[in-house]
Amino acid sequence: MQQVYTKVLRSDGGGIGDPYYVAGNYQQAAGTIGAVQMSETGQLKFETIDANNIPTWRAVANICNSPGNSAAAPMTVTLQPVPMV
Amino acid sequence: MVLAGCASPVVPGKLAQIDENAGYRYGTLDKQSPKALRDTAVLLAFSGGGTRAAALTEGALRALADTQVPTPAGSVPLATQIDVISSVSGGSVTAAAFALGGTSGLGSYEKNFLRQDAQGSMITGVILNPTKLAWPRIDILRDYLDDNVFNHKTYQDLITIDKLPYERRPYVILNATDMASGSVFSFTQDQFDLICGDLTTVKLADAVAASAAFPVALSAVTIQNQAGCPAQQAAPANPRSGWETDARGAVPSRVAEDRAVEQPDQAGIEYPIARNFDRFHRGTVALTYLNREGQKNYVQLLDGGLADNVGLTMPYILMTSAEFAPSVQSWVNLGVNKLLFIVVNARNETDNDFGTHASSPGIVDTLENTINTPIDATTFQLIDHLGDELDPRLKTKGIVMVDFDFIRDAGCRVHFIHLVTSWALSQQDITDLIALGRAMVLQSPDYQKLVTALGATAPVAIPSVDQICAPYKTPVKTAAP
Repeated sequence: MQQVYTKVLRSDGGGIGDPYYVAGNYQQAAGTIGAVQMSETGQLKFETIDANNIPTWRAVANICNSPGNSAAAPMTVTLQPVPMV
Repeated sequence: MVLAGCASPVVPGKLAQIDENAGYRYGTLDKQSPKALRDTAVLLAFSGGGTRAAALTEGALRALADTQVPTPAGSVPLATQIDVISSVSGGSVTAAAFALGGTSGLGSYEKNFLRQDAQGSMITGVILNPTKLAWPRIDILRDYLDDNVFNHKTYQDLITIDKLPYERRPYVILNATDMASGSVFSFTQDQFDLICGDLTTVKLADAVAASAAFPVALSAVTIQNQAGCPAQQAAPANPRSGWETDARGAVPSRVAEDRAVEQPDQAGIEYPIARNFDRFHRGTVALTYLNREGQKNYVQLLDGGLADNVGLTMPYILMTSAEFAPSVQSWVNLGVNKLLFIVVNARNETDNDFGTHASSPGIVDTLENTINTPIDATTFQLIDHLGDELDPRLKTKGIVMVDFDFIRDAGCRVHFIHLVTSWALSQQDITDLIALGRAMVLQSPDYQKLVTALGATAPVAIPSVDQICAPYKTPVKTAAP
């Protein structure tokens, strides 16, 4: 399973250092916003959640290993606000 | 009354609700006893092999129990800081017993199980109670384990059991093989969410017996699938569930993501995004447990070694994916930079003469070798592959292999590799296997390097592998005068 360097950001540029979660695994944060980290390939749903586990920011991204991917040139995933229901 | 011990099929309690923060999950255990080694992941994988595997894995745990490492709370045995043990078959007996009894329970496990003639006791039990002849064969093993090793304890007891203040019990993943798909079936709540079962109600003996149900000799363990239950239907509305709704109903988000496909470039063909076939297959198998076709009302489980002889599947997923907890990949994203991964492989080879004659081997030899040989080859390939794929940010990687193949002396190697697969071995064999498992961990350069990185020193292995091997060594040929 290939690992790809990724950087998860919020569309408003905020939330640096906040934890994000992947694919509904709310037991454990998958990383922090703004840091260069690694993800497996394929489709992944990235989310931030509030204290009640309600998703607040979200992106569904297709993580692919493109040429030149590195810690210095990560794939960027941009979270958008989740509309209030 | 006499059939009280017979429990086929296993009917887990039906889930009241799907909640990622409840039940036998890593997160539940971690909340009780958070990681003390904040920058280190400690994972173990235990193979099958009856009492041979159970004793060798006990030895590996003793090596960690004898290694003191510094933590913010003081110096503690490394065995109290294990994050995960993934196991199959004979290794599952030790894994589950350790999750229940911890470091202080190692001695009683050795006395009450490893040094007992479990095989003889099971046969005697049938002679004294001939109604057991009517039981499914697996129930005789399950009954023995329930009465003599696990004392009727369930997964709930792994959550609530009393522990020392500094002690973390490992999140134990006992693995069986789903006969229908040939895939690994792990006894985790993530897996049981799919069949709408509450794992905390399942007896440890049932899970271990499923993990150790070697085909032909033992019958399969059957688990009732309750998928389609109200808890699953309600799950997408619960933000703590990790479930969503697709065109056919409720589904875990991770399964939906695993099954995501690119736009088909030819009519009728779909390829997974980024060609991640491993995830796609995982999602496809997971989907079958939701029983949308009505073809999986029961799950038939056999020995975990059929799909994965060393229990490597789940550790591999945890090291490369964020979908399941505890994700080592996620830990590395958050600052973990050391990994200790101990693989205990108690595989054996039968003492055969296949290479000495032209006639074909008999059906028993053919069956045994057909099952074992390809899995052993895959095990080594997967471990090599894992070494290449591990996150480069892991500064210290201790991958420790406990395997008879790494015994230098040929005579000693052959002695251990030819020990039979059985639930009874001689007292000397038990002594040797425990000592060997301990010594092979302590003498491993990777183990010593990892312990040094933790700011400690691995104890000297006494007896060493050489000392354990002394009675079995190949005689050195001396030149004729």
